[in-house]
Amino acid sequence: MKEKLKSMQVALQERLETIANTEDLAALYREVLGKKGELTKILKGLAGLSPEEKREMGQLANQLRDQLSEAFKKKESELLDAQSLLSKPIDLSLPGIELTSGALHPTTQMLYDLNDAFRSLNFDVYEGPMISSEAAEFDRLNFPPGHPARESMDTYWLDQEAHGPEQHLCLRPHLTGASVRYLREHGAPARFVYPGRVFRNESTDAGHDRVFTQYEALIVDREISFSSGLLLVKTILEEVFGEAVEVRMRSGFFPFVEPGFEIDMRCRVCHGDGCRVCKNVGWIEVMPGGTPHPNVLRAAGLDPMEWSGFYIDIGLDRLVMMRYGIEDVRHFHAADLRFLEQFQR
Amino acid sequence: MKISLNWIKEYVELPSDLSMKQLAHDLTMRTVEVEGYENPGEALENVCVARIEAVLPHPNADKLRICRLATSEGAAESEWTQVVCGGSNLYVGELVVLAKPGAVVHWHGEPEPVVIKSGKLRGERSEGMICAAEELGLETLFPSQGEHEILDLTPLSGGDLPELYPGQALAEALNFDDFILEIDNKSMTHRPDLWGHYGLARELAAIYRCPLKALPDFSLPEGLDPIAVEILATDRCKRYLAARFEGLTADASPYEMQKRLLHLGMRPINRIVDLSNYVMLATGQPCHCFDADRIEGTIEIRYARAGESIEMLDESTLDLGTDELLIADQTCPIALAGIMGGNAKSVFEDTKNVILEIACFTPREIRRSQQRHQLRTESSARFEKGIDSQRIDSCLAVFAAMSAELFPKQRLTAFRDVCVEATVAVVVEVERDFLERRSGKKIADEALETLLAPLGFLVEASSEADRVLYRITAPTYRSTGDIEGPYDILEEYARILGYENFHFEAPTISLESAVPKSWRDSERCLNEFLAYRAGFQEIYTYPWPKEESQLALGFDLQRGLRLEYPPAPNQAYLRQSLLPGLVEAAAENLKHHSQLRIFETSSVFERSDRSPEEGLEILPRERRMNAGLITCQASEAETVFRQLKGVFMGLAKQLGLSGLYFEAKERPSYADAQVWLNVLADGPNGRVELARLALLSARATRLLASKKHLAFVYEIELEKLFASETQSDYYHPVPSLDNLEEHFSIIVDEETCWSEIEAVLAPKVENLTYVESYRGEPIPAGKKAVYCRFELVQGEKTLTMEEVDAKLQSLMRRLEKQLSAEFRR
Repeated sequence: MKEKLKSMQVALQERLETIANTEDLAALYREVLGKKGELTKILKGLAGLSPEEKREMGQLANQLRDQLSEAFKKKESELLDAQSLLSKPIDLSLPGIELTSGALHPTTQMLYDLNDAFRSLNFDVYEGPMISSEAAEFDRLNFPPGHPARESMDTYWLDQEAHGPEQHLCLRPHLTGASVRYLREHGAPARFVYPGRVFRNESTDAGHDRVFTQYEALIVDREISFSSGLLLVKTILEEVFGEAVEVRMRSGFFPFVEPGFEIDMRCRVCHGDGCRVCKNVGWIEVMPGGTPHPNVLRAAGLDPMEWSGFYIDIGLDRLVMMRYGIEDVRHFHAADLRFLEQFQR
Repeated sequence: MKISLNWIKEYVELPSDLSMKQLAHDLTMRTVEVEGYENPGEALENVCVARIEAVLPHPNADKLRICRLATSEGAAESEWTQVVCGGSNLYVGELVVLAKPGAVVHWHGEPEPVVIKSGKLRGERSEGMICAAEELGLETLFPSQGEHEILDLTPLSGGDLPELYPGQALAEALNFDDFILEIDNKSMTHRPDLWGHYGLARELAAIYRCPLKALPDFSLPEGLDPIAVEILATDRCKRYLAARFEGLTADASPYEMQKRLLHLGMRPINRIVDLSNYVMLATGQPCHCFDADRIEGTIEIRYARAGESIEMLDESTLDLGTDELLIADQTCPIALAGIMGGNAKSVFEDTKNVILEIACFTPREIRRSQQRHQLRTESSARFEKGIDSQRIDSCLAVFAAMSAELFPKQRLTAFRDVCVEATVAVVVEVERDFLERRSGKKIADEALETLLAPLGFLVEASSEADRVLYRITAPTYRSTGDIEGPYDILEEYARILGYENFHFEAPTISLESAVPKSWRDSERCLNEFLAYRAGFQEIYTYPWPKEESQLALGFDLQRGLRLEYPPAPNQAYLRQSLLPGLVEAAAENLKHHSQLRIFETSSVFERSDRSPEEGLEILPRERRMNAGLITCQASEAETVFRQLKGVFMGLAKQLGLSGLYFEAKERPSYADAQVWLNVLADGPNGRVELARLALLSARATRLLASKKHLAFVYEIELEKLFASETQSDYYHPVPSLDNLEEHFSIIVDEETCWSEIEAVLAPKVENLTYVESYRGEPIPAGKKAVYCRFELVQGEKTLTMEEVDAKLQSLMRRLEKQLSAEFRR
């Protein structure tokens, strides 16, 4: 009996080695450990033995059954790991099937990035009307009467009867008018951005289009020195370029600010050594900014001796152009999918 | 504007170790933007003076000569340079211009520059090129006398130019060594004082704290005759000075003056005109010379009369409006004030006596006139900025001093100065505390005066307790609109000190209140859904679609707003909908794309009905819209239409709309006769239409210029959409028993709509889904089989087979009764 069990174990081990698929393994299992299997029969045959033999043989047979079960399980795992579920292999080198997705306009993408950055600094997001009045866009912003920007050479005026500058309407030539609307609505202190499209009647070239996107931010508070403005500038540029940027402010003139600045960024191509991109200056002009002119604060109903602030006025298209190396601003409103589909995120 | 550094140095002694790069940087940081600078001498690199020692015939060409040139004094014959030249005026002993290998020239005056190389010309060695004046851009300074003439320096040596010698660099021989700075005009529109060399010299003197030389003194001689001058338009002309100079000549100016004008972008004309231009470039104050012997009677400064015209110096004739300012004598207009002189009484070749005009005009009207005639001159560019009346005095002094140098026999014989109103110096009072708070920097006692005095400001400080008050008097040349209040003083102080010297601090951020979510967040959510979930590409279009597009989509142009000066004649009307622009964009893109899904989010405009009331801002109706377009072929129409409806259903989930309803209520003007729906949502005051979707009408589809393509379009009114937003997601308890999935197929009349089937089934089941329709064998003609799926709710306990059957039977009976439906097993 002992020998029988022993030889059965050896024979089974050998057969297990040769089995190559799970079906054969299942058949062998049935043959040995199934209801009518060899080992099962032996275990049933133990009944006719003496109690001592029974104990000894029973122990041996049970041991063998456990060992064999373990061996079957192990073999089954090996076979499962080795097999593929597919009867025919697939060509893994075939190209991927892309998900059909559209995309936001690259300028919108940049605009949302900036909104996120400013929201994290507790700025409100605002937008004024696209059609505005001479009073809102020029008078309140301290543009002197007869300023060239007021002329039809520069601004798209509507062709309709107007009773006074409040009704002399135009497509907004800049966003800045909205800043005064916001302050008149919400008062001070205030901290907000107001991005949007603006319109200029001018001849177009690679650097100029008749419609373009601006991004303005204004902070108004009691103790804002013009030097605080630099933080806003750095916030934006670092958001756009994803790395620390060096900025500088220099004297600049715009009617709605006093003092006014041109804000430059260290050229990212030559890192300040001078190259064609920065016209050998080492710096690139990125945006104007400055403290709101007292007349602008007055127009917003604020006392300029009490309140101060800082504007920044970003040409968003220019930043997008710098981000991707785009050479012609007219791409943005051309609605050409061959251009737009390149910015999928 | 171009500025000569040599000229600046005549007025101010700059630090000896100051590089041009540093100067450009400092000026850019503190005052005006220097766009670039160049040394005119650098263009003449590798170009030198040479003397012809021998002229030999060329063995292979009749018109060419072989020249042997000495390029150093006393050069031995073996050192001579051989050059082949076709010039017609070559002779031994002639001093010529030699462009050596490496020099850049304009061959025969061609615009494209070429680099000189040594080589052989018709078989003879040639080590460079003997140049004509135009080959080096010098033709204005040295006009050639005949064709094929090279520039002969011999007569100029020791005359117009100093003694020249062979081997001398041409840049040195011509005294070209200078830096010409290009200043960005836009950066100094607010600084009329900087539009001349003396003004910029003053600025540099303040930046580097070095002394500024005074302009020449001038005192009026006794016993001058009067000149008849009358200012009739006293509102426009604040001062008019006329001075008669006699004994002048209108020949060519001396070389140095011509060269300087040329380098600054002005064309030398003659000694008199050049002088007035030179004085303007020095002081920033325009002045003008009339031929005194051609002027008749009183000089009047007056408005143009109706129908009056003037022939200008450039021989164009301008028709004038009665609001334009003229200078006229008793016979005719002699100048368009502040812009350009007239031809009739200008300086001619025989002019000997002139009347010099130096005047002060109000800026705004100068600007208007120059715009009206599209005539922008050096003079108008300065007057439009607003020049103080006092600058007339310095202009006269410089003119008189230079005139004495240029015309040895000149005399001032008559004079008249009419002043209506002198520019008043602006006085600003500002507290030290204000300057310190706004600049974030302490100010030492004398600091303000040290910084501002070189700019011409008078600073008087007084103190009371611990308050320091400055009383600052601005110079008149900064008092024409530039300096107005304490902020301007802050700016002057900070910029001269240098912005790089301020410490930058972060503003403190108070967290008083969170920024509320707004419709802009919803708009972003919508845009991102359309782009990244629904597969649409966002585009931007111009707000002025073509009139024909707007009309084809059925928009009434009369309701639209019109531009006074449109970008194109057929683009005068602003959009009332985003769709015309989208259709135009689709037409363009279909040239290289077979399928499109595009959208835009922006504003549209309509004429306002409200009646205007004086002094009140009334803006037209402006609506924020989202619109999109999908192209497809006719065979895909039903699928694509369903996809578009699917976009709306997804959108409703995304934005948390409680329900959207598709109903045919009002056909949009751009919709196909059959295929369109209005989209409604529950609002606080009942259902409102917030969107429309449609197959683009046959008429509008023609705009696509494609026989293969149809387009589905939609537009959403965002204000209404966001008003119906409720909450994004609601919680429902997870059911203990899953719903039972069931499905069946019913046969109904062809005319029966899905919505009718839905109306019967939806109240009784959950998640009713249309799967497909089938027509043809074995379904009878005029009928269709509709296959749908749905779920039965189990509630507390599992439904038995019998219960499920009973429920299905009941559904079937309802369908039979209401829609005469049959069942298909």
